[in-house]
Amino acid sequence: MTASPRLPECPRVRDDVVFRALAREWVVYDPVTRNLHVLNVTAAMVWSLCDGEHAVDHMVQEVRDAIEGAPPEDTVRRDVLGALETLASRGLLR
Amino acid sequence: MIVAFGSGRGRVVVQVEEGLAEHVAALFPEDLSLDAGGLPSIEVRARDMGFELVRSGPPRRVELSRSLPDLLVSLEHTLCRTLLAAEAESAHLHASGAVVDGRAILALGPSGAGKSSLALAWSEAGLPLLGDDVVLVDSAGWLRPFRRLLKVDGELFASRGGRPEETLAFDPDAEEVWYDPRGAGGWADAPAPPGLVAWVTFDGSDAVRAEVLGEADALRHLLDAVMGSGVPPALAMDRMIPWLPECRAVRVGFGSAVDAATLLVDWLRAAPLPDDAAPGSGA
Repeated sequence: MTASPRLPECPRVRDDVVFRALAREWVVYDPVTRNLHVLNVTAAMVWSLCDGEHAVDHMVQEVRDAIEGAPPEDTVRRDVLGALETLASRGLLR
Repeated sequence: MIVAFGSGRGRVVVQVEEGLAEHVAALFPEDLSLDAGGLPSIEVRARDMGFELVRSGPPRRVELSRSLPDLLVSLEHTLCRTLLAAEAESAHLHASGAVVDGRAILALGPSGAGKSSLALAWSEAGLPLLGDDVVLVDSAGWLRPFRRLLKVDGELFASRGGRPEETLAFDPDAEEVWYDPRGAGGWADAPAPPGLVAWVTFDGSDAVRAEVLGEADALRHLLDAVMGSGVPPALAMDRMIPWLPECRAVRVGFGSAVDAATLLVDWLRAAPLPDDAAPGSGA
């Protein structure tokens, strides 16, 4: 399975967007829009893999391996694609 | 930093620390003088020795349409911008604040939210101020005062027993007066770490309403308060994130600045927050 048509094969985050971990959640700050976006754990993992070198299939595998109990691949893929589409829709990917 | 700015008896006096005097003097070019009719000459002094500039002589027209309060507001605005430019390594928060037992309270919110009213209440309660409109965040993430005279609503000031006619640059028609906190709690004399951050709204309610904020919401409000005149927001963010685990954060609506100011001090001193066990959603 490949990524959504709106997504590049190997997504990459914008260089100017700042990612930081808080105590219980993760945030990204867009200095252009001055918006702060809160990420859930899956989106935070996806963010860390959006370096232009990881394909979506690889992301799905990495995220699935990181989750205790290894949930079904389809479930993880849906979550990863959802996170990527959210990041893209907020203009946070290159 | 600016240590005094005001008018009286026919002149405007601006006092600044040595080193900044030339910046301030640059605001008053040689050919600047003021409208006839009793408007003041301008005098700029360094607090320490080394600089003194007096602009006097026959007054000449600059802008006839400007009243004295308008002119002073304009001068003060220009002075603040110049002084903030000299603090370019700090983050500049659009906030008021005071220091309580060595820790800072910050009140954030848009213009008209009540920040200056809270600062006035804190000052009158004897607390050293960090500012009524701008507070500085240094490179260590500690809060330092921006010593601008408070600009407070004249009616509020009078209703609290203040005497507007004794404030600087008083004009009977001015809606706001400048208040010098050195007559009360003064200015904070040392940097302080934050203990409580409040996003405030003057909503006229009888009782103070409050909601605890999660870390992300607190950070969002802090970032909204970062001004363009200091370090970039992304750098300011890295100075403020370390505050979040220990710093309480609340969203507050109030009708009485005195009541709200008192409650915020109590909360900083570890009184239970309105709903301490269940912070609001951070998402």
